[in-house]
Amino acid sequence: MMKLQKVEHYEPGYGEGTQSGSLRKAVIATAAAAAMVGGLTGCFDNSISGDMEYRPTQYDGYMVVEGVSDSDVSGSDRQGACSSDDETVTLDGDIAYVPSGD
Amino acid sequence: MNISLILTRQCNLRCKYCFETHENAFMSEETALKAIDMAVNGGGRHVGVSFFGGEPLLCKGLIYRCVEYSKRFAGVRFSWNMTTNGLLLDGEFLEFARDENIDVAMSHDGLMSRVNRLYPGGNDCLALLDEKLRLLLQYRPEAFIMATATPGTAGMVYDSLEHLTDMGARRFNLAIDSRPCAGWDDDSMDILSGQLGLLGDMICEYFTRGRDIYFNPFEEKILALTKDRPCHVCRLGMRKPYVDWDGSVYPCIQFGGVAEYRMGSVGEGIDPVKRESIYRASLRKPSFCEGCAHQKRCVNDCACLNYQQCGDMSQVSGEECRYQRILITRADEMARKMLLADENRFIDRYIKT
Repeated sequence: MMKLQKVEHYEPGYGEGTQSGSLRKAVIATAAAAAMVGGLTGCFDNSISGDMEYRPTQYDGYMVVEGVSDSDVSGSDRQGACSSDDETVTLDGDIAYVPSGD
Repeated sequence: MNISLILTRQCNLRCKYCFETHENAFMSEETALKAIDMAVNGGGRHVGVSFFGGEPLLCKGLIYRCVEYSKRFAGVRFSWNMTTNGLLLDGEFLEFARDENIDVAMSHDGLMSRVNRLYPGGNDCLALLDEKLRLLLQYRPEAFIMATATPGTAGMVYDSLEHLTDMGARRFNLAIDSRPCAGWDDDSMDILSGQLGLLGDMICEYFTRGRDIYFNPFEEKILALTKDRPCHVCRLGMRKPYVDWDGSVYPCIQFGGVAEYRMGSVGEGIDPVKRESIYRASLRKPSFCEGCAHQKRCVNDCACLNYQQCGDMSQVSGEECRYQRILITRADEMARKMLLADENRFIDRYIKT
């Protein structure tokens, strides 16, 4: 059995050496933020099934973010489906219809 | 509601790392269609169905039947996916999958298949796997290829994934043999880490040449950072219940057959109290992980993995802990190189999309 190991401090180091200081700030700032967003890939099931159900898809001019619930979609928590806090989200059961913004 | 259907426990392979029982158990048509009814009645206008096993293509007819049955539900959008070892893929099925938009993922370990992906008689099936992979990629160039590494094949990971890339595959996942008896140790993990470093360099090289290769474990870690979102949210039992071959419903695959976690059946329905109770229990994160800098980018709350490896949803194994740390550091190493190579493309790939 291997031992667990806690990582006390870690810097991903993105943006070092690039010309774009704003990118570095943006990336590091997002790493430090504490947003909670639901419904993503990465589980055991996905590692086996390659489940793509949480990837946004175009549907009638909206980005369909599947498998969400009311508590998953609020404020700026958009699973990456859109970039604006002003966009209206229509929830229908477990699907959120988010204007694509393009 | 989304569901996974265990069409059968049987398989035409005996992969060395497989946790399946391979009993001669097959889901009946009645059970499968009742499962679809249950999913539709679960609410919402979208139903996601995963065909799973064992080897789901042993039940090809049942897959055709399920898709045909779904068409009676006007106003409900179905999405389908499946993971197959690919040996029973043929043009007819792939045309059907294309027409019905069934996302087909294939298990192929690359060169590691010579060691681990065996017929029941013990011979490897690499040649046929390659043939079927080429066929799949003709119909679905973006198909996900699912590889598994064991301690004995850790040193073959890079060559294996290069083998798959050379055949045209672009999207991969790599799991490690996560059975408690797998035998991972520091040496094999060090070897795996080195291999993933080489893989990251290969992906970066393709990236600079304008060809995008997606290694899912790295992609998740990078997107967790750039999109500021957790790498994994389990929602055990809520997100996608598993319907076993006999119609019993469980929260996820590793809990199949475990009476304590049975949430109901396609005949009885799902017990909402039991489901909620299982979900609430899964929210307890491993206490050891509190304060770890990698928490948000780890899969330490995957109840399935934890249960398989530790017999407890709220405990994470040292092996998985090490694998996650390797993935995070190697993913970030790759991302730094990609960012330096082409900042604009990096932004397009990991921030704008």
